[in-house]
Amino acid sequence: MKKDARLQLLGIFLAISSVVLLGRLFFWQVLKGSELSTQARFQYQTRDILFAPRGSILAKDSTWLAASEEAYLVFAFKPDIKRTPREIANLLAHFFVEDSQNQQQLLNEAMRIEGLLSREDVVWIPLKRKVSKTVKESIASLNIDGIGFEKEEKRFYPEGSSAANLLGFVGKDKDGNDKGYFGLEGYWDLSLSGKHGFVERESDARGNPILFGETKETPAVGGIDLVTHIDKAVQRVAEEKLQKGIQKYGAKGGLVVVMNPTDGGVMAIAVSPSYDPKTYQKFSDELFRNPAISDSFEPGSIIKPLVMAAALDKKVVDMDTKCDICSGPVKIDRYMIETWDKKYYPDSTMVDIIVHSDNVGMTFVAQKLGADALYDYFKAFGFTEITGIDLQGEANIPLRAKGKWSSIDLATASFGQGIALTPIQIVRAFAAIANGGFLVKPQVVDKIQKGSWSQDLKVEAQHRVLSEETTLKVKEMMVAAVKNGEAKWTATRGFRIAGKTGTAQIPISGHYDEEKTIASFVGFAPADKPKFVMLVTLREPSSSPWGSETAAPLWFDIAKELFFYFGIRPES
Amino acid sequence: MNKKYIKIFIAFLGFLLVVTVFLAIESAGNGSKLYYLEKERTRLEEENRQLKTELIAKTSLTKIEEIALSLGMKKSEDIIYIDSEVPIAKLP
Repeated sequence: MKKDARLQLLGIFLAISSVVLLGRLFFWQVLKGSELSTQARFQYQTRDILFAPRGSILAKDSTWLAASEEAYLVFAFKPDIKRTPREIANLLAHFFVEDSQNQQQLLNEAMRIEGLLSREDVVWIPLKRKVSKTVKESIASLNIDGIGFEKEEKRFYPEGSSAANLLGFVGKDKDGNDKGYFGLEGYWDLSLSGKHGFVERESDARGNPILFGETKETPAVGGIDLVTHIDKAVQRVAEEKLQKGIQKYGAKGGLVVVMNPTDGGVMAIAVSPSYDPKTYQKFSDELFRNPAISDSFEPGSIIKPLVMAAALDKKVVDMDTKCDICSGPVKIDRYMIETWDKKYYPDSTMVDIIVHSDNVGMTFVAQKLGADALYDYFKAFGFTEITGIDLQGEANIPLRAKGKWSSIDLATASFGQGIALTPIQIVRAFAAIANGGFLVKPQVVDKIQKGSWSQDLKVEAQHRVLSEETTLKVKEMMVAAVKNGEAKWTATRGFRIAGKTGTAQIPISGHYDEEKTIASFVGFAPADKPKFVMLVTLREPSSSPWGSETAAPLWFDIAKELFFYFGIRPES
Repeated sequence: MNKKYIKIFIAFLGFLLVVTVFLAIESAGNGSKLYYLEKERTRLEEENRQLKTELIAKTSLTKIEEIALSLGMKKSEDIIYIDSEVPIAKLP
């Protein structure tokens, strides 16, 4: 072959090679460039999630009421699965059921897992959320190809269902992220929630980080802890006694609220029926609400000391003012106002009216006070708005507007009918009598903290709603009501307790049901230097409709324990 | 003269090469140490969390009550208050 021919051949060969090479380069660089770039990034870049745990909820003594523990999401990655869906389902089912001896549960769970694994449209399948570390380790030891774990956390309530309506629970939002609902978990959700971070950096072939490589890091921000006023011992006593009381008096439900009258710190809210926040899915939605802050009821006779306080403060009556309409029923418009026991006490003093829980006497007081003044005092007691307690779900029913009260509205309001209040509003108003006349804002969280940092949540400026002189007079009336009123048989002897019974009929379809009542007792002790103010209500007690025979003995039963716990000594 | 500079330059290049290799080895070694330390930190954090969970469970009022009852303790039924103002016994 001639030299030129060989050169031409070589030239053609080089040209073809160049075209092939360019074509190949185009394929890898342009067509496959993006995919390869991603693959390369996975090879030399690692990305780790920095976990931020949800904050804890602590009791007054800094022990835990709610905390988060490590948990795992069990998932299946279909391309790596080597066994049949049924085999895997049978292996995993007994780890996921509550009772592994229950064959029906096992079968249902196995079928659920098999169904998930048989799906054709997905590659990554979440099988079970929030499994414990022990379960995760047990599953991992089986070495099932294609089954993996992703770290997450689950809420842990060491006291079980105690204070459930105060705490709330952690569920999922629409995107599947943890979210607090109701109570403290709901109200403080944003603060309690941590924000996960991540670290992304270049790694060598063995996965070790390259020190001089590119690093991006967003630190995790853990949720803050809440230190509450909740006293576990008080909460426990209230719950145990409430449960026994409900059984003893055949009530449909009930609640107990215990608050420090000086700073508004809520020590306990016991509610029955309630739920377990850990397994909230098994309970009806109705149980999640906290009736102490969400449900209004006609307070009945427990309102009387507050109306009397208003009249005394306004100086329209005094302790020894005599009621000149108390000798019998009194007619207002077309309605007859009677006493609860049909007994009448002519010339009753204001103390007698409270001791006898006299509706006619209270009508006398209300008439002296007038509708506008009563409205103003109700407003001052905080009855026209929510208390602002730091719990999710507070609601109230507004009072009838000022200036629109008829004479019968004024009369019935004086003995607690025709108005509706929440238990926390009532407790707050009585705290004002207990602490010398200041309206406090109920508060569950005392301080927030994170590591060594903490911040006290200052009590909001309190304003005076009653003069000290008035509160002293009303305290004496309430002490007399406990000693000489219809609940005197059950009062704890030796202690100076200020209290008042109440029996409110439940309005149904525009009239009052004689059979259905809400029995209540509100009081504080020791009367002169109160350590706590407490409200007990029982819904529809069947043993007796009267507060003096149901809620009052329960109140004293709880108080007896609290006296010992708080170191309150008897006076005699 | 030129040869002297060339020798110095070659020596300098050699030195740079040695330093580069040394730094690369050091970097890889330290990267490995960092990886190990991070693993260790994660392990300790998990262990700490696990211990905290155990602590929470074992110090709950519910658990303490359970243990107290199993030890034979019970709630006092009658409380007697003693007046601190009145002496219980007096010297003659």
